[in-house]
Amino acid sequence: MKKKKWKLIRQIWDLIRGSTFIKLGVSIIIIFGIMAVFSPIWVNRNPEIYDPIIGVDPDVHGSEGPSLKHPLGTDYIGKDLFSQLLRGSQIAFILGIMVSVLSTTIGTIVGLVAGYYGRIVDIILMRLADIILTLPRLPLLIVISGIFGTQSNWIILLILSFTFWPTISRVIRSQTLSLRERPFIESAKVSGVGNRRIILRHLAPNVLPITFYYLTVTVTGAILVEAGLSFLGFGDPSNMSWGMMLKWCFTTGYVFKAPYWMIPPGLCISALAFSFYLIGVGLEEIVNPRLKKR
Amino acid sequence: MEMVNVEHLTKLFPLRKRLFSREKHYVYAVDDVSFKIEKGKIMGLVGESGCGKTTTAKLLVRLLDPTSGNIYIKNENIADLRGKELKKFRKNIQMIFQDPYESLNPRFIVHDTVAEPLIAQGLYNTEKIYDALEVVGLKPPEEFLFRYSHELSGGQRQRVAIARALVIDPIFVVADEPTSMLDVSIRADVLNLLLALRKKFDLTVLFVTHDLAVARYMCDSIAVMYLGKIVERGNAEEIIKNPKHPYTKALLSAVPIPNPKAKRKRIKIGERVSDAVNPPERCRFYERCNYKKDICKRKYPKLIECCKDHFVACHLYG
Amino acid sequence: MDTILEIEELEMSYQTIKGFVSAVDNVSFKIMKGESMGLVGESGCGKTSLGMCIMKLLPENARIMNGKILFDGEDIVPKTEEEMRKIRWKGVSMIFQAAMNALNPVYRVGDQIIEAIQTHDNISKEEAREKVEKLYELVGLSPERMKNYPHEYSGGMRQRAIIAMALACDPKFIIADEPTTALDVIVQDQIIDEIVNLQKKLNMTMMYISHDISVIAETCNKIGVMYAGNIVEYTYTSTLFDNPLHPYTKALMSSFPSIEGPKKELKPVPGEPPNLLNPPEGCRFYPRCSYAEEICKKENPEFVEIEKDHFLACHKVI
Repeated sequence: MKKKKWKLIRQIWDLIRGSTFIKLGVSIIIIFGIMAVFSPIWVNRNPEIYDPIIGVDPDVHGSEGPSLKHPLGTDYIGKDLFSQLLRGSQIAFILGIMVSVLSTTIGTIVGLVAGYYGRIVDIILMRLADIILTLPRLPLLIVISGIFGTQSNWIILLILSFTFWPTISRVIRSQTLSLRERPFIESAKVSGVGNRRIILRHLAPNVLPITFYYLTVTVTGAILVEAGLSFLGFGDPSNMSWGMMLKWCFTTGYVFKAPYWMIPPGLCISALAFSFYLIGVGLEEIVNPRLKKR
Repeated sequence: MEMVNVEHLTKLFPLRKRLFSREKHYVYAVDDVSFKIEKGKIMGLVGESGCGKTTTAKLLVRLLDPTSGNIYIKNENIADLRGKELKKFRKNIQMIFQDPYESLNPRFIVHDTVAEPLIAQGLYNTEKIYDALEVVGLKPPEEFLFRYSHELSGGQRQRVAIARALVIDPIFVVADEPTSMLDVSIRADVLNLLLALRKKFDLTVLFVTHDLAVARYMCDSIAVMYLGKIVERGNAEEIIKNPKHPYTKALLSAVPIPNPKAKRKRIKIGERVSDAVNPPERCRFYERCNYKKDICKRKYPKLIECCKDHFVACHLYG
Repeated sequence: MDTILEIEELEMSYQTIKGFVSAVDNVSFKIMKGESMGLVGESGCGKTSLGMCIMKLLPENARIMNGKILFDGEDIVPKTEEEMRKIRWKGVSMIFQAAMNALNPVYRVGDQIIEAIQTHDNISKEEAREKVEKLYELVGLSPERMKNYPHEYSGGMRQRAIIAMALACDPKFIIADEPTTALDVIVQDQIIDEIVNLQKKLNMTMMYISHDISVIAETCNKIGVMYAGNIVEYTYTSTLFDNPLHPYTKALMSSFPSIEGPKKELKPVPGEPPNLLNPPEGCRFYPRCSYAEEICKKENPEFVEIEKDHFLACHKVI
């Protein structure tokens, strides 16, 4: 079936090329991707000075503006801001994508199972989703961190994935409910196709467009929420992120004195979050006319 | 030889009329329906919307579970089969659906659509797929294997649906209005195809339709349904030319004829008032019937043989 | 005799991303006062597009490229939307496909018709109400039902209400586009009966669009057969059935099964209608025609009157 795979890929490629939103979004992501990849290279120039967490420039006292040595300047104790920004890019990508993949996978599976089997399974899963939706993220983060005795990015990852999947599962479930009644599913049943195969082979590919959409917008959500949590001081202290940069800028009183410190991380958060969102919009454009096409 | 024997098939759907009502209301979608189909014959199930013909079709392929009754396919009762046994028996019964677009998975290419029943039954074989496509007239098969359903015309899609139904060599096929969503000239094509396939594979077919002219063309025998019951049943030509039940007569008189010279005498009957919810013990057609008698209000008429091979459920006939 | 509608060499295309789709091509015919013309053809042949042209209810991407539509002697092609608003409902009225879904579910049916009347006629609400009562009686609905909501009506009743609405402003001309497609056989028959009665009673001029030649045979005194944007034959109903001349007409007729007469074999037309994005130069039926000759491939035949009131577009027969 090689012919079919190429056909599918070519169809997807054509769709991507056609969407301005996707092209724009992808361009921005590529820029940040380069930043993320560049991070270790920058640090290795001189790890003692440029390490985003422990590196410090002994010649610098307090926050200084951009210079040749420090393209974005330094923070209040002389740490290089540019390397912090690059590290933040890495964290944003890794965290954003991992949260997105985890929550979307869970959400899609739950949605499919709840929608297809219905009745008691549906009730249990959806009540669970409802309960989770009522949980406030920040207190949850505090509690879990307290239990584990640490504030780590892994915990943030888990909390975010845990709180994002219910929304996705709702949407997937309703799509599954409508697909379930369509004649091609009935036809599969009449042929003797088992439940598992119906879900994986018949239903899942038809909800995939929605899944892809959520894969992209969840990254946006994850980046923004993480930035918020870090800003409030609940980020991983053993690492650096854009939100944390803002936090340090704010809590050390430099927020109005050092625009070179405050603006870049804010800009990056907005830009990267927005770029994933653009891709989502582009995907939605593609998904909708296709669904209506006959 | 009898291939299909349906005995007292009943399907009730529970309804809750009010939110906290304790009364149990049921829709008698299919009510004590019995019929037989001989091997290699096509039986038509006709009626208007809401009469229960589609529900009957779904019961026969076990998309729905019967509330009571027996369904004998080649002398095996499939009404209570479950799990693995049911799956195994599905090889023998297949269905062709009405909507040629909706009955094909939009993400599947033709190959996958036709392969699916084979895979489900563990009989995957590329040759069978090629054969199936050829026998329904999609030649050369290579040209169609890799196409998506939205790249095909309505007639072609329905042919794919037929290929899918026949690829695992079923002995009994249920066709639920397979041509009502197709264009007129394509319809004739597909109908002729089904007749040819029936002949070639000696298929037994249940053909569900609301179009009496199509039923006459396709079927050897016809059963007329009204509000869940079979009201008349028998040889197709006999039913069309010599209807006995008042509803059948009214139905036939309402069919427009493609001949301006033919003057048909339409039989007027009242608006449909009752539905199939908790029906009382009386003839379902009572309110709209022009020939009603007192007994019709009190007792439901049983299906009796009024002439050779012609059954009617009406107090006018005994 | 007044000519209510005269179409002269009408050409209409839809502009799509891929190019122009020629939906109506070189269509000419006349309808006199009191005549009922049936327009029959399969999906995509342009009959609905033609109906929309006459009402000038065209989508954004539709362009009338050429020709005249003379309604009561006046060409409406150059008219603006404002001017058309005055003509619609009073001059020309339309019963759409699936019109029963066109009723607003949150307003009473009677009120909706009253509103339609008051928009076009300067009369008081009381007078409008009286008018609607009379209309209801005319179409066979009980005037008491005016205060009901659409969901309280059955399918057949909704369709009657739509017909009442179409007649509300005493239009000179009514276009009915598949008014009975979604209805059951018996209800369809009642509606057809109603339409025929109204036509006789009011001496209504009507154009009836359908894919079902049986229905058209019963309701119209003249028939125009459409194929791929062209009218290929146009004559009296009886003439068309007695003596169909165009190969497509003949093929179409042999595609309809009937409950009357002996059982005939259906002979469908092989192939598919042409892609109207790039319509062929010659006759559009050429690839599927069993009488085709060289000239048919090169030239699209002229639509000419070959005998009194019998128009045809075919090289072979002429």
